[in-house]
Order: sequence, then C-alpha cells, then structure tokens
Amino acid sequence: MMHDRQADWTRLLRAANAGDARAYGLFLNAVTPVLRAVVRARGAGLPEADCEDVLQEVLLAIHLKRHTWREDEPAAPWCYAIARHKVVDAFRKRGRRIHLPVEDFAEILPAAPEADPTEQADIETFLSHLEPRAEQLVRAIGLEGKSIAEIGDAMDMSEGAVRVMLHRSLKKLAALRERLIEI
Amino acid sequence: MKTEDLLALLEKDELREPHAGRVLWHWLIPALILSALAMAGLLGVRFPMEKTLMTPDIAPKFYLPLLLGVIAMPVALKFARPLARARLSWVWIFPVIGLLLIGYAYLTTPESQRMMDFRGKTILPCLLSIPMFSAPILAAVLTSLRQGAVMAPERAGAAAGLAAGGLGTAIYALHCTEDSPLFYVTWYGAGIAITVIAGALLGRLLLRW
Repeated sequence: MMHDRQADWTRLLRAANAGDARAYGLFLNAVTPVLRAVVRARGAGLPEADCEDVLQEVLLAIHLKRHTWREDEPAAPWCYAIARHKVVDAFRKRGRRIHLPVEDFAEILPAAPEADPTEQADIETFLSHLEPRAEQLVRAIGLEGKSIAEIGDAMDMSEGAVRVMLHRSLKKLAALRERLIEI
Repeated sequence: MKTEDLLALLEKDELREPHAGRVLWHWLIPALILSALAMAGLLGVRFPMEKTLMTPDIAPKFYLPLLLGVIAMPVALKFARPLARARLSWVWIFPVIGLLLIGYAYLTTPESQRMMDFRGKTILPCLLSIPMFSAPILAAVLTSLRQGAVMAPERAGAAAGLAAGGLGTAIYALHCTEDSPLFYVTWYGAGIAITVIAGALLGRLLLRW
C-alpha cells in the first residue's frame, strides 16, 4: 500500500506539472490526510485547531515550493522532506522542539479532520493583512468556490491578472505566517 | 478558513516559481561584473595580465580559485532541492594542491627569503578584499537558494560561500602582486575560509523558510 502511495503521488504530480489541474487537486487531497496524521501524532497536546494551522502551513509550503521537485524524483519523499522541515519549524515557533524522523511519514495512516468545521484556523487572521482586493479574491476562490473567470468578470480584471494576484496572495500568506507567528 | 478551502485556492493557482538555477543566471553575471569593476576601479588590474595568467608559478593563484568557484557553484545550487545530493567531499583536493604548491615554493625559495615571501606586504588588504569582492557573488547565490527549499541552511550557505569565495578570489588575483605560493595559498585560503564562514552564518539567517 505504501508503494502505491509513492507511485500515485508521483504520477499525479507529474500530470499536474503538465498542466492537469484536476490531477493537482487529487494530489493535494491525497497528501493532506497523511500530513494531517503526522502533524497530529507529533503535536500531541496541541489543540486540534493549532494542528490544522500547522497542516495549512505545510500545504502552503508544498504548493509554493513545488518547483523544487524534479520529475525524475519520487514525489512522496519530496513531500515528506518539505513537510518535515515545515512541521519542525512550525512547532519550534510555537515553543516546542520535536524530533520527527522521516520514516514517520511513510508509515502513518491518513487521518480525516476532527475539528468542528466552523473552527477558525488562524489563516483567517492573515487574510486581513492582504490588500483589500487580494483579500476579496482569496475569499471568493477559497470560501465561495468561484472560478478564475468568474472573479475576473466580477472584479473587472483579466484572467491573467487574477492568476498573478492569487499567486502573489498565497506567497504573501506564507510570508505573513513566517513573520507573525514568530514569538 | 478550513483546510479544504485552502486546497481550493492552491488548486487554482497554476503559477510556479522559477527554479533556483534560473534566478542564479539572472544575478550571477551582474554580480561578477560588479565585483570585477569594483576591483578594477578601487585597486586596479595588474598589467601585463599575461604575467598573472601565463607564468607557471603565478597562474595558480588565478586558476585555482577560479576552478574552485566553477566547481562549487553547481554544488551550492543543489542545496535548493530537497532531494538533490550535494556532494562537497571533493573539496579536500584544493588544500592538497595548495600544500603541494607551498612545498614546492618552500624548496625553491632561499631560506632567508621564505618568511618574507610568506608575509608579503598585503596580508590585511588581501583578507579584506577577498570577502569584499566575493560579497556580490555570495548575495547572488544566496538569493537564488532562497528561491529553493533549502534543508540545511548552514551547509548551503557555506557551499555558497565557497563558490563565491573562489570566484571573488580569482577576481582579486588579477590585482594582487604577491606571487609566491607561500603567500597566496595561505592568505587566499584564509580569505576564502572567511567567505565560507560568512556564507554559513548568512545561510542560517537567510535560508530559513
């Protein structure tokens, strides 16, 4: 089963790189429960919402660093490396030092979210730090599930401009987390 | 925002960041030009250049650091990718060549002159200039590494310092008039070591993400 995971993730990420947006969605949805399980196992004692925050940090990192994966490499070890780096970092920022061997990732079973879905993870607080139009755009896509084209029409922007603003907003969100959580 | 909402955002973002290598190409050439111009403007190139580039005893002071820089650069860049294996074990060959040069110079220099050659007249300018002319190049390499996903910030920074130190030293060698390996192996080596340490410290600060 673990070998399937390796092969599946690699296949999906390759397809995603070739421009298959659906494959990328599948990849993210496959990775998320595994990473959630690792974060939760490591963050024992940390409130569920905090674990979900850390998970979101990891997912943002995987997304924004996906150009550091090369197609001839297996995707799973790459994911684990990024996730491990981010998880250790996230717990360090929250005042904990953890030891996280990479084997933990390969052996763990996926986990579904447990938290009350109305629970506000703190990415919400970061959204308000974006400039108003960027915040509006991120909310429209993330919360209302609007497509790029719909937002282009609604905000009177070209699709290209929407894409650039979305990408920049995600980078900004990742950077804000770096700065604002630092205690 | 729930995690599934975040996933919806990530799925829709199709733009990818440029590779570290591309960023390096973008910055490396301007950095080299800046260092070279600074050296030429502040210190001046030593003429005739053939003396530095073609005399067998003297040429290593230019070509050896140049070779070090050229080999170390792609290795430093590998630190940008989590699964790339950056190998630095070849580095020891440079101190060995350096020691051979020192041994050769020691044997061929009259005893009375060895200490003079070793001390030269420009130890301090040398130790200051090498890190200074390496700095723009180090900045270029660190900038490109920030674009990657560095797992070992200090090692990556040290490798960047090695690459930058090699190239910066080659630039300085075009000015320097100290021609004994007793001088240049020792003090160039020290200058590069300073750059490597600076790279490691900066890496710790700048290559976090």
